[in-house]
Amino acid sequence: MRNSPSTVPTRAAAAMVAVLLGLAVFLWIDPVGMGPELDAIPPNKPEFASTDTVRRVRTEMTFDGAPCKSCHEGTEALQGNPVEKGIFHEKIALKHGRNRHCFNCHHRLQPANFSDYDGTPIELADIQLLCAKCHGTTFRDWNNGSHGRRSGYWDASKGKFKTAVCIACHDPHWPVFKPLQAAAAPHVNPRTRGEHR
Amino acid sequence: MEDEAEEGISRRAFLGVMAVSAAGATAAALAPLKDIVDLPTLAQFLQQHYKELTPADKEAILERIRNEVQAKYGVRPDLSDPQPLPGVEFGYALNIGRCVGCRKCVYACVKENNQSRDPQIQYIRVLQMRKGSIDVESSEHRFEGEVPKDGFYYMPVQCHQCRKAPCVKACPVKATWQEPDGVVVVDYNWCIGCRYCMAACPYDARRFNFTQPDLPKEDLNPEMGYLSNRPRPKGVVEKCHFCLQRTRNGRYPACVEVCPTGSRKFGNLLDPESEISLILKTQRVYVLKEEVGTLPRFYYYFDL
Repeated sequence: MRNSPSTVPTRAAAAMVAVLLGLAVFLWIDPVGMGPELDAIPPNKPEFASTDTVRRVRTEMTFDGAPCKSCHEGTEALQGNPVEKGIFHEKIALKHGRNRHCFNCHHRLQPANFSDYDGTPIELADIQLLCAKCHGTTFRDWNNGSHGRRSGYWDASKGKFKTAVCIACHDPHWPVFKPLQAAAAPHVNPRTRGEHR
Repeated sequence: MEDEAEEGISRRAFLGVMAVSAAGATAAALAPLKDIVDLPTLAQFLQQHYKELTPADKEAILERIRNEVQAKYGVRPDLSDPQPLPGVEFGYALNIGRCVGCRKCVYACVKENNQSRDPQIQYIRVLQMRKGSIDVESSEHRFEGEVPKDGFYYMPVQCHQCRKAPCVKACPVKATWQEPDGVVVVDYNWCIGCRYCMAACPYDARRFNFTQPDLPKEDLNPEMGYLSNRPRPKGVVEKCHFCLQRTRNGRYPACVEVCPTGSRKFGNLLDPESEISLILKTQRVYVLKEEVGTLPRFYYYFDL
C-alpha cells in the first residue's frame, strides 16, 4: 500500500537530505563570513631599521684618495678660490649660507686641519669645535643632548653613550639635512581601504 | 510490495539518512573550531597574575617560555625579567622640528620588539601634519616617497606612558599597570582581550593581536623581557614599553638609536643632568592632548 505511516516518499527524503548536505557545504565554505582577500605584506627591508648615520664620517683628510700634503706642501699660505684655479676641487658644491670662503674653515698652512678664529689648527677628530665657531647654540644643545644623535647607554653607571658628530649628518659644504626615502607606509586592510581618507 | 520499494523508503532508513546528514551539517557548522590555535596549556591557564608570582614561580615561568619559544622558533631566547631601577623615571622627548618622517623608528621598533609582521602591528604611527596646524584629525599617515614634503611637519605618536593612564583605569582585570619607573606594561598571560584599554587610550597607542602573530623565525629578536618583547599570543593587547629589555639594562630604546635625524631623546627624568631633563628645562616643550589630563611622560619639543 502507498505511503503507509512507516514509509516516506523517496523524493521527499532525497530533498531533505539534499537540503541538509547543502547546508553542510554552505557552513563549511562559510561564504557569508569571508571578506575580500587579504593581500601579502612585503617583508620589511633591512635598510628600514639600519642604524647607520646619514653620512659616512671620514677618518682622514684626502681628496680623490690622495692626502692633502701630496699637493699642498704647507710652506706658503694658500690663497684664493680653488674652484677658479683649474681642475681641482671643482666638484665641491659650496652651499653653506653666507660662509663662502674656504679658509673660514680650512687651514691655510696645514690643509689637512681646520682653522680656529686665531689660526690655531683644529684636527678632524675635533670637528665639532670648528662648527661651534659659528653654531654656538647648536653646539651647546649638542653637548646637552637635545641636538644630534646618541646611542649606547643612557645610564652612565652601565656604560657610555656614543654621539654622532656634526658631519655624520650634515655635509659641511652643503649642511642642510637632505631628504630621505620614507620606509613603507603602514599596511591597510583591504576591508577598510578607501575609508578615513 | 515492489511498488512500495520504488516510491518510499522505510521510516528507519529515513531517520538514519537524516541523522547522518544532520551530523554532517552540525560538523560543518562547528568547523571554525578547527582554527582555534590559542588554547592555553594547563600551566598557562593556572598561572597567577604577574604581581602575585614568587621569584620561584617566575623562574619556572621564564623557563617554560624559553622552551616554548625554542620549540616554535628554534632559537633559545635570552629571556629575563628586568626590574625597575630605583631612582629612575623614564621620560621621552621628540623634536618635531627635526623629524623628517622617514619611519625608521617604526621598523626599528618592529625588529626589536617581535611584533607580528602579517597582520602588521606597529607601535609608532608617524603623522604627516600640515604646517601651522596641530589637528591630528586632518593628519595623514600613509604618505610615501621622499620626505619631508613641502608644507608639512611630522609627528610620530606612540604610547605616552601617562602618569594618569586611562588604559590602566579601564582594564577590568588589572592586566595592565604602571611600573615604578613609569612604564605602563601588559601581562600578556592575564589580558583577556576585551580591548577596553584601546578604547580608553587618547593616543591610539595600543594594538590588538586579532590573529596568531606571524613572525618569521629568522626575524626573532632573542633578547627578550617578560613584560616587554617576548612573543605574544593571539587575543591580547600590546603596546610600546620603552624597550624595557634594553632601557632597564641602561641602554637606549631601539627607536632612539635608529633615528637618522636625532629627533628622539630618552633618559631619566629624576636625574637633573640627563638630556631629557635639560630638554624640559631649556627647550620649548608641548604635550599632545594636554587637555585630556593624562600627564604623559612623552614630550614634543622644537629648537628651530
